[in-house]
Amino acid sequence: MKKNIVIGLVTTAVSAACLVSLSTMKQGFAMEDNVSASFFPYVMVGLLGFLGVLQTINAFVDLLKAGKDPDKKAVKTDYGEFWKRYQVPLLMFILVAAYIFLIPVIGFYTMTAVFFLALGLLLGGPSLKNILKVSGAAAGTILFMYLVFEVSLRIYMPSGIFY
Amino acid sequence: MEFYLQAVLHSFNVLTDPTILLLVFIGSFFGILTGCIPGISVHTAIVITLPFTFGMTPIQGLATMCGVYIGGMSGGLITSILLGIPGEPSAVATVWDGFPMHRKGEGGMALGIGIWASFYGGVLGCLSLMITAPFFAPYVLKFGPWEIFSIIMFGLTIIASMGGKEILKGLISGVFGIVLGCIGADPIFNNPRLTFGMGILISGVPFVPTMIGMYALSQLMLDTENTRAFRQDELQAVMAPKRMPFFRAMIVTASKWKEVLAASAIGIFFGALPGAGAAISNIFSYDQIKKFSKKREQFGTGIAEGIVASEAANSSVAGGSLIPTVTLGIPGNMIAAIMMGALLMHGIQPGPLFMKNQQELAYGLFTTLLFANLSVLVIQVFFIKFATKLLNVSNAITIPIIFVFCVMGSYSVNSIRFEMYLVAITGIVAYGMVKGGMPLAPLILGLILAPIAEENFRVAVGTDPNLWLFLTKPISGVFLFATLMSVAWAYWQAKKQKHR
Repeated sequence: MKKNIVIGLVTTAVSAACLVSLSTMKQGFAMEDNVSASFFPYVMVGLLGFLGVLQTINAFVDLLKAGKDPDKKAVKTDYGEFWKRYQVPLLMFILVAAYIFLIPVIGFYTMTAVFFLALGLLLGGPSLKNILKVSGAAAGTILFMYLVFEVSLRIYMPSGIFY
Repeated sequence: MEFYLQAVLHSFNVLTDPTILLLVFIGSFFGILTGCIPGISVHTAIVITLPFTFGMTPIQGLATMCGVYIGGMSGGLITSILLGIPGEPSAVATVWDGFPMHRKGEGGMALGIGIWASFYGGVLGCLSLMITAPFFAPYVLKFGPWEIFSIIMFGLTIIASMGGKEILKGLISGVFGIVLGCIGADPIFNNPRLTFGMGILISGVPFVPTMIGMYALSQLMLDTENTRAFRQDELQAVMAPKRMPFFRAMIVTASKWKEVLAASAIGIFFGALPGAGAAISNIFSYDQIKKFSKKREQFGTGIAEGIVASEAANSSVAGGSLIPTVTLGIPGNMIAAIMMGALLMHGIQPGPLFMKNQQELAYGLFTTLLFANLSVLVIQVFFIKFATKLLNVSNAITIPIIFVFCVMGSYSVNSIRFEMYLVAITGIVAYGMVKGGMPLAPLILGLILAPIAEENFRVAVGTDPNLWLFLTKPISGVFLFATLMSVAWAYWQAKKQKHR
């Protein structure tokens, strides 16, 4: 239920930010005999804000109702369980973000090899068999990409300190 | 009629181009491979393919995507039958009879029936597209901007309403997609909007990296939540069948022609209905065919009719989903939306004028879709044993490969670094949305349809500032009324579910 409140609040905040951005446009809400460039986005952003507020109110009402109902009282979050469940996707996202943001610094092919190995170990465990499998797959994928994209199609990937 | 037949016959010329045949074949192969890896959906497969299609001509790009689409839809049956895990949401009902049949030692037969039922359903879906789209096209040409705007609104709300008890979240997702679609220069005066001072956003939110982040990265993150337990426990159950009696399976499936026809009709209907699609059609078809069958007690124990009901339905969806896409410019499902996005990036707008102005491309699309069904059938007949071996490939290898290709694909379209960063940003947003119970389909549809909706709205108001025309023009009024009704109906359903 708390996540529903978060959804409502985030939606409202996004809508407010968009309204501020639209208000800086030179053209106003409407023009004579026509609609301005900001008219349609204004309507949609307004609608988004309205839905966000509605979502927040609904979620608060549900939370209050659940508070009165002893059967539906909020269960305390078990952070151990939470970490166990989301550990891999969160670590994966950190790896992905690091990979994407470091490509221009280090270079596409080097970062791809590092990322491939790191993600493969995260998902398959640190056994020797897995390391060998992942290394082989990484080498094969990189070679394939280089031959197909750089050599055949002339699509050059970003290079950094390394290749 | 004569003109129509000529156009259809002419469209078969597409198949004389060996490049197109090869691309359909490669696409089908890739689709089958991804379809049989549990957790990797046909959406992910088509999104990965998307960047590669930009260097191709529109028909080559569509041909490749048709192959992936049909291959992915059909490939889902392999895991459903051999592992008891649907490779695709569209193959859920295939498990109910396919897996028990495999356990009885008739896995080869079950696969054969599934493959043939998919083929028959796919071909019927294609034929329905070939017949229906040209039939509707002249009527749709009479639609003005009022009608098109209202139809888009109807399509968006019906998809948002499909979220079931979470209708509000579906609507938020759809409207958020429209707002994202408004980012950048406006379609008439080119005034930049909602760019937050970022010059890179003037040309709008880049479509390919957004799709890759939303559908591929978020999906991969979801898959990894239970990765170790999932793979190791389930893989022990894999037993590839020793014999594949394809010829006998063809005859058995053909003898169930009533079920094939009924399931295909259901699939085509759900495909053409915006937002419904294969995930619903296979379960609905299974349920209906079971209800009317004389063998209804045997459903779920491993009978051919159960597999036919599911597979013919989910494969015929492909043809059905392209009917509203090519005639109205409203995609029937997410894959049709991605294909529509690809066409838009080539500067081609599906919709009322598509069948008239892009006749060769439209009919070429129908023909390649038909050929994709044949290609998938051939690949599955000859390579199914190889595909079953893929079930043993670990996630530790498939996920990094897919992700590396996603990043490369997002960069290769325009060679802009920001587009790689956008993959990470949209991926985490989409993951958060899914975890919060928000559907992604309305967002993507909103993003694609927003510029078209806005342009039609502004042309309508520019022609006549009277806003009441949206309600008083009969077709526009009917669709706007249906829009309100779809929201009200979904809200009422949600209330009913909550009280239960």
